[in-house]
Amino acid sequence: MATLYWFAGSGTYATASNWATAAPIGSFTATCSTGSTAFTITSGTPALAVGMTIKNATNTIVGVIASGSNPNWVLQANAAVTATAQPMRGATISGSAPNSATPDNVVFDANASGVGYTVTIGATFTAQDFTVSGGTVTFTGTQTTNFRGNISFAGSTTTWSNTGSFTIVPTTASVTIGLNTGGTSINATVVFNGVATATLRLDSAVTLSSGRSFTLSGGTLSLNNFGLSCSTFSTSTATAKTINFGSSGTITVFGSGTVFNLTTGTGPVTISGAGSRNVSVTNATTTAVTVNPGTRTESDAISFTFSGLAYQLTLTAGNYNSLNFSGYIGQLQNTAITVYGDYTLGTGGQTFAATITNGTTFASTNATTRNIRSNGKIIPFPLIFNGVGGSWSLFDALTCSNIATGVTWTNGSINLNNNNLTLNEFILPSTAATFTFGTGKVIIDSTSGTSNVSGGSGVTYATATSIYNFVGTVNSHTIGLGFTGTNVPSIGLPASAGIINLSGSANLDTTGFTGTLSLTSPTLYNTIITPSITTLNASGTLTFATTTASNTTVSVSNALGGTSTALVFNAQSGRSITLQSNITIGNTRNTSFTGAGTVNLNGFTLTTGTVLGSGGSITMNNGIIVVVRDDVAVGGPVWVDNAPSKVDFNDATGSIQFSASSPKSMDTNTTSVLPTIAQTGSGNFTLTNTNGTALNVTNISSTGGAVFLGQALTFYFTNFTLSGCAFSSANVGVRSTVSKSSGTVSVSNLTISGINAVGGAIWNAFTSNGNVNGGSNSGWNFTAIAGAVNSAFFLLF
Amino acid sequence: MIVIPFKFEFEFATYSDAITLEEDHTLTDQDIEDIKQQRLNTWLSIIRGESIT
Repeated sequence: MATLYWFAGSGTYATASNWATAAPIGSFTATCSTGSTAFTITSGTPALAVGMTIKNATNTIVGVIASGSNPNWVLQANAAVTATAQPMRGATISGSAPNSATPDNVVFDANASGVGYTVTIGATFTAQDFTVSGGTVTFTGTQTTNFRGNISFAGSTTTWSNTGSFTIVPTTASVTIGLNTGGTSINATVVFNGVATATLRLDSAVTLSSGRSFTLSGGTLSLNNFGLSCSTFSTSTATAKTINFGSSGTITVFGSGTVFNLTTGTGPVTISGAGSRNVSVTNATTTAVTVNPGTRTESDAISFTFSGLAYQLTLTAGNYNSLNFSGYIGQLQNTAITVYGDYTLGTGGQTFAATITNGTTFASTNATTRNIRSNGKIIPFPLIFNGVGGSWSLFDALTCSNIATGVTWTNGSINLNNNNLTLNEFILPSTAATFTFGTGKVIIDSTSGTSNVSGGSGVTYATATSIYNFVGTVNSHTIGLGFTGTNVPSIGLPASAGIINLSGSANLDTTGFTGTLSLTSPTLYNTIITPSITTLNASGTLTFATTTASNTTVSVSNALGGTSTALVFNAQSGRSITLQSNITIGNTRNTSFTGAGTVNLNGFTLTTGTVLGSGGSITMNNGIIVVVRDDVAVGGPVWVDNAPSKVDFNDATGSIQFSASSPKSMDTNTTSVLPTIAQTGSGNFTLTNTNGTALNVTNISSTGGAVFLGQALTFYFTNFTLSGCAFSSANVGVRSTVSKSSGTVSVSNLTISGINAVGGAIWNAFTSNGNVNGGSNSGWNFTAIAGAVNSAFFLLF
Repeated sequence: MIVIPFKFEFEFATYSDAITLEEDHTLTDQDIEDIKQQRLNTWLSIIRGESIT
């Protein structure tokens, strides 16, 4: 192909000889055919006039404007030369390309005198490279211009007013076409319709005039980190196409209607670019706007920024990268969208459609934290967090409408970033996830009627204080939190009436709450159940626990009623649960001691139906355990260790009391010293160890009911002050042994049977003190003997 | 050729462009800044729906 210079504006574009093959020399130059040639100009500077001369490429005068008037002129070539020649560029170019099969490069140069000129596009034409190299050149007309090569207006002051399609149609495979508009806005529809492997590369910003659209029909549009601005952007044809945003390229659409649509062509659309792939949508009218990015994935999702007047905005259901509504003041329609990047709501008057059936899903799987900034907007639609490996941080407080909307968190991690998250429903993940509160809180609002918080068994709380505050009056909250790790979420209840249905695991503080608290098998850590609550119901198993990292305290000011409540203490190794109040559970219910840690009664009283010892230890600290049930009702001992596991005692203060009026027993294989065992009921009481080893007992007492000791077992007593009851082996025919290392035991009103008394102590059970030798005893002094120090000693002689 | 890329960033959009000049251009720095500003103003006018004169 040749490079032709259009510097004379003569003849028709279709005639190759009307173009120069070299750059212009000197002032006005022209090439033209001999004789008269009509041409048209609609505007230009300077104004044409009959008599103007025309020069050729070698600056030789070749003609003159013979006649005509604006815009139609007649050029007379090879006419006489006038002495007052003026430069001229006004011209009409029309027809097909000089060589349509292999278009020429065309160049519009600067006018030698510096004045501008106008080129009217009279008919469709095609060029290879198209260059306006300098000067002030205006292109007008209504005809299509086709470009197959580079297009550059750089260095010139070009006005492109030709409204015909500005079509870039490379036909060569893998060719790259540069487009440098040099600040010129193009008042035409721009179409890039290359073969699939061709590329249109922006070499500057490309801005289309108002109402002008950009259509990507085929090939790659490489923004090359520049901005493309158009009224609307769409695709067409079945040819494969790509938009390469580069690291910072942007597309700005400023029209209305469907302003960005990648689904209008049947060919596949690929989005690439290492940046966030930004499309800015602005609209200076209130006409509705729709964007449709087509089928996107996380790796090629597009970011959108919205601004302008109060137009209604519809995001076609699908996947988006970041969404930024900060400059948007219209009404956002409710569609089901997925957001992989940041999410920012409007700082101004942005509103939401009344329909809220569709949720917005945050689905990033990227390690980079995504920010959510609500700017004070209340979100009326559900939010879903579901991105494996993703993480989100609140830039500011996030509030969801309290009308049946909330957050479903399935995967990923959330950081409140010291902000509050307010919602009506919150479903937390069972998969591994991290929840960071900082000084922020989750506020559960049941103002609309009910609220629900559930799940979270996979959640690790990053901070020690993670508070769920429940608010809303005379309504119902259902709470079922889970967690993993060592930081426990805390539940704060409203300082008002209402209904709290609590399950799951948490710290609990009911201070101020005056309604009904219903416990359904919760695991509670630091616990304060205050007398302010009007009704306390409990069902299932109530567990007080510690983590491996922290001790807990428990204060329950109300009796734990309910129909099937069992109490479990589960302190981890090296950790303790310390009572801050008495605890009373239903008299048919069991208390289990599990875990390897300690339960510290701290001087308080635990009242329970039965006890199962499966691990750990009890620090009595002068506390009392009252066991109220009997063996008949239980079908076995009311206190039993889950041998070989057991519960031990860290001190021997306080007492364990058995109060049933029917037979009851304590079957323990503890190796520690039992605190005082008190038989406070009228039914028989048996202390035994079916595991067969001896027991150490601080003391034993009775208010009248019989006391039995396990047969053939030895009981080492620290003190022995039992009186006023029957005292025997559980099987009189097989003696039990009581042992005390020193001192004198003096009992009264005991009827002793099958008891062997040993150790360094003197065992006096004088009949004069109301004692009765029931038989099968040994080691007891039933009759006072002066000077006796050890009845066993005298037996030897 | 000398290519001078420039960018104006706004919260709602970014204008990214470049000025291409001959090696022997005679523009001053101020001239270049004026060109940048003029291009930005044109762009802002278009996307704001303002008439361009």
